[in-house]
Amino acid sequence: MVGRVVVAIGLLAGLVGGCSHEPPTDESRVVVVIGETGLGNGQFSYPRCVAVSPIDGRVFICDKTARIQRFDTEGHFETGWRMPAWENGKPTGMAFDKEGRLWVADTHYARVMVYDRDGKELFQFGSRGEGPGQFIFPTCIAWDNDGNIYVGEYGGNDRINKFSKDRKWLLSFGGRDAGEASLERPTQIKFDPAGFLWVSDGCHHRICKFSLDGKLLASFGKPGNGPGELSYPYDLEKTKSGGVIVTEHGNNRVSEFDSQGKFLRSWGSPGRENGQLMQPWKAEFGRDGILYVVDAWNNRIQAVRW
Amino acid sequence: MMLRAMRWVGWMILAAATVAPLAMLFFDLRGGPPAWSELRVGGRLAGILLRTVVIAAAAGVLATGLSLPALYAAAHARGERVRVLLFGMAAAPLLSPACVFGYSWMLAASQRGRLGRLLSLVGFNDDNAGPARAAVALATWLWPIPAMLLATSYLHGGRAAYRMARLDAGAVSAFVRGALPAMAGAAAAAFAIVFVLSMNESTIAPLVLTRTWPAEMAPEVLDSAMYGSPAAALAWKSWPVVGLVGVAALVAWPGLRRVWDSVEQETALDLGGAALSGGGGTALAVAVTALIALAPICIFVSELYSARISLGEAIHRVWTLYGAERRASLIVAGLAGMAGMAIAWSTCDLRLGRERSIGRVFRAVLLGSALLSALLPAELMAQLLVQLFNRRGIAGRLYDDTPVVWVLGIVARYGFFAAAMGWYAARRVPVEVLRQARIDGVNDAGAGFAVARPWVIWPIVAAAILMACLSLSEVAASLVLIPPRFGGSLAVALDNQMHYGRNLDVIVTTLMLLVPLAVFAMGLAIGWGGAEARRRKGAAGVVAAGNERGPLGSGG
Repeated sequence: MVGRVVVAIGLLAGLVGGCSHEPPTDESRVVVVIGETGLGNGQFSYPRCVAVSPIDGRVFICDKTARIQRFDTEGHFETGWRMPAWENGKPTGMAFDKEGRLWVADTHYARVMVYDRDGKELFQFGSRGEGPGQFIFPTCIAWDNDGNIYVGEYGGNDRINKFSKDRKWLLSFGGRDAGEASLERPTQIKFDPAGFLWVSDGCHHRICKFSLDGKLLASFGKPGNGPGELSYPYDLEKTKSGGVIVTEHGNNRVSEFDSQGKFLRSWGSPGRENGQLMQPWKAEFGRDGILYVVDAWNNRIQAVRW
Repeated sequence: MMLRAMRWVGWMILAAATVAPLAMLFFDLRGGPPAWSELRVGGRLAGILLRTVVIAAAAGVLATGLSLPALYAAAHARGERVRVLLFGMAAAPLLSPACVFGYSWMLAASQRGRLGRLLSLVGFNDDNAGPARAAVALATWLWPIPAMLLATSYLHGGRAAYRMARLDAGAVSAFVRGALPAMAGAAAAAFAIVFVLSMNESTIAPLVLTRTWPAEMAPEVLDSAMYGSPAAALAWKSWPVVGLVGVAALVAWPGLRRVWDSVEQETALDLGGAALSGGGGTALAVAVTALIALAPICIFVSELYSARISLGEAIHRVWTLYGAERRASLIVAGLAGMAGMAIAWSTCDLRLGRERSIGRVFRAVLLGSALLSALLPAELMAQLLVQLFNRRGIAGRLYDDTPVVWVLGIVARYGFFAAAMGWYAARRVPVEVLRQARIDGVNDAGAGFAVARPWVIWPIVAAAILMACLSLSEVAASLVLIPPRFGGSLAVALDNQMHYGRNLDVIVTTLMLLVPLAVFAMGLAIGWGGAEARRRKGAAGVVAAGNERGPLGSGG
């Protein structure tokens, strides 16, 4: 009887204690941590998107209180404003154009809103629907070398829409009926210097490369949590060498691949300490090789020397 | 010795999960509200509260309507197997995560096929039809509660009243004037329970694009759990819902008590004994019940079919995709199941033993705390546990590095049901059996368990299965309490991804979660039903043998 009790206690202790482990932290590369939990200036409640101004390197963050806050390169709060409507949901994507205007994918309002760096609304476009040029849940914006505008969306359309500079719809691609090229929750699009469009195909757990007319050229990634595998890649960023940095929401890490999709390295592990991540959403390069990683569940941005 | 130790383990777990957090809450509340003006619910929040009440009430009505086929089938089923099947079909939705129902109806509303077009015709997809979608989703999750209560009430009193009334009146009149009054308490209790659960359910509303009070509360709790705002502030903010839930619980109590008492008397319950009507009507009722129970699964399968994916590949993919969450969730489910078994045994054991007055007080405090914890919003109880354990030292290590606090959150939410199962188990043991055992000198837990085992084993096993399944499905408490280094919760991961629309991996993983839950539900129904049938057969044989011998055993 005593033996049974001992075995039972041992089993219980093994279940309780043996399953957690201390994953490694890589705090040494963290340059600065921006923000903390809260609702005040410089505080966040589940931030999801980041954009870095190409003009002055200022960092703009949007969280689930529908606030967009601007920080300097050292992480000090400067100013902020709120989206005009947020009852239905908050934005999940932002990007700067070459003129320094901030484009915000107002996801649950099926529109894209454009602001200057101080939060003054310049214009907006988009309407809800499945027709040409309409959106359901827009998530990301990018521009090709000719200035055409690309907007990615999910929620039924799951496609990339191409607009001219004056916002006239030109074409869409990647929808559900596109076979191998179909997308499922595209969450980020970026152009490389050669003019190819890279798409993070979130729910297919892969990264895709498209031509400007929407032809799928290549893709890499398979679901999993091993090195080189992907779990809900919500963001991608291009490196100077042509590689791809992928923010993996499901694996709580940021992974780097070369242009052929070969895994190079990763950073981050689940946790709350500096150097650890919980449900990261986006990452964007600032100046001097600093990568701003949106550490959503920990309500902060970690600026990492990459 | 192990059984005696397990009794105290159960009480300790319940105390840690409910008494300690509630004591801390009452201590924090002693200063009163921050300002009376802050208790006013005005503007946008008042509208949301009103909408939540309307949704919860509509869900109660709809759930009662959806339960009628199951009630008819249970009342007219020929044979025990059909009733076991009905019980399994009814238990499965209750053991499933609520977000599954929100997600399935969200998918149905957005489908491009026949179902989507049909729903569009009635405006189900409209932007302002969110409350209707929420009510439907809640009803398809909670219909088993009125089904079980009404069926039990009918079989344990309503049917007798109906048969009496049938002597002088037609079927409909007999049912309305005879059976319904006998079932009124159960109907009120069923409505009130569905109302209570709907008022506290926070995962369905965002998925069907509407806003309800618990859904509004959840982000506030998450924020406050992270920057240390006292739970008392949340409790004051929750006063409208806590008040309404308290009133509903008071409404439910008399009806529940009557159902409980009628089950104890075991009047007129003959599972397969007497010949019942059966026939085409019953078969149709069973089929409709199955359709209602399987509606979310049908919607998911339809999505997968339209996507034309390879199911084998999809299963292989999600097996690795959610591997960490699956492992962590199964571990927590195992621990929660053990906790449920210990709690049920604790309650059962106390009833078997001789009871001192201190024991009665002890029991009242623990069970009262467990009931209060079950009625309060899950997020509030979880926040209390965070405040208790998120500190330096052993408590902090337990919180950060082990699933202990997470399991305590599950116990806070559902421990009352495990305790109720233990209480029910003990009440099933015939008084004569206990009396004879004491006369024979049985005075320790082990021998007492051996005597009472035929009556108590299955409710205790049911408590363990219930806690394990409910822990697999729990989102609200898990969201606050998951230790970041432990791997995550499958239910939370699924709920998180459900917010972003159609996701085939989520659909496949949800189906993979629902299948074992359904298997557990059916297994419990078959095992318990079979054991009951064998026990009654054995008891009937003893009675028959006694009758042969005569009242004094002399025969003749």
